[in-house]
Amino acid sequence: METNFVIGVVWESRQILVQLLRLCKQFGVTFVIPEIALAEARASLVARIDRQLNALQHLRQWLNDIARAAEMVSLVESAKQSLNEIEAELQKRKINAQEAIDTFAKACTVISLTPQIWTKAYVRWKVNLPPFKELDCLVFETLMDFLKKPKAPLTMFLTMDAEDFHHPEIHEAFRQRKALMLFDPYDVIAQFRKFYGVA
Amino acid sequence: MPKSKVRKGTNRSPQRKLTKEQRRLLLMEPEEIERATFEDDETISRILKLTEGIPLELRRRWAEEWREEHRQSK
Repeated sequence: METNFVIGVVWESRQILVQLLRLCKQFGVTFVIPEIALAEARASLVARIDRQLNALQHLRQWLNDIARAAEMVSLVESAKQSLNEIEAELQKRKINAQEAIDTFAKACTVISLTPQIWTKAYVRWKVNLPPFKELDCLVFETLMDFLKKPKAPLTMFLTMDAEDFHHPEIHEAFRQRKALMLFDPYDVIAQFRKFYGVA
Repeated sequence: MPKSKVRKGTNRSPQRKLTKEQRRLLLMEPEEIERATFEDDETISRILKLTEGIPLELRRRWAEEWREEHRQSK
């Protein structure tokens, strides 16, 4: 899996992706996620909550200016009180969001980003090979490293990012490692059905 | 001593035995999946519970925003 999956489950609560997670747990399927994808999902989510917290800080600064007029002081004080309550709520959301990502991570096998993987990804990115983007190259090389030795009778890589991953070289690299690259979560279920003979 | 008969294990057979529940989950139709609840799964329930404080509409907007940022990234 890659970042889109984490975001699809944790941020968007997409039913089909949540269902896939449940299926993997029920069937004892190893659910693998590169550390970099998890970090990207976490950082992006936290950044958005931080953006709201920063906006509150700006509001406070404006309120300080407004409070220079004596008749506004009590109004500003009550507005600040509300801002404090909002901030407390946003901090709680931030903690919960991080905990949700941690809970997701515990249900997966997280593949670490090693210096060797990072170097390979950097070279791939620099010479402009698919999947072209730096973070996607890191995801790709992490998965390639993990799949060096065939581990399971059925291995699939699900990505919803066809724009970056749907290239013949990438398909070939996964094929060589006896893994399928799929772009539709329902195709993963179809493969499961085929594998378990209930298609 | 008679040799014990070695049988082919079912572990790698495509015809693995599935429990009723596994079979049900595997054969769910897309509409059923869309209506599914996940109370029976502790991990999933926990993830959903932890994020419910942020409105789903906002989280989906953030996800689209992230996708756009990712598209623009190099």
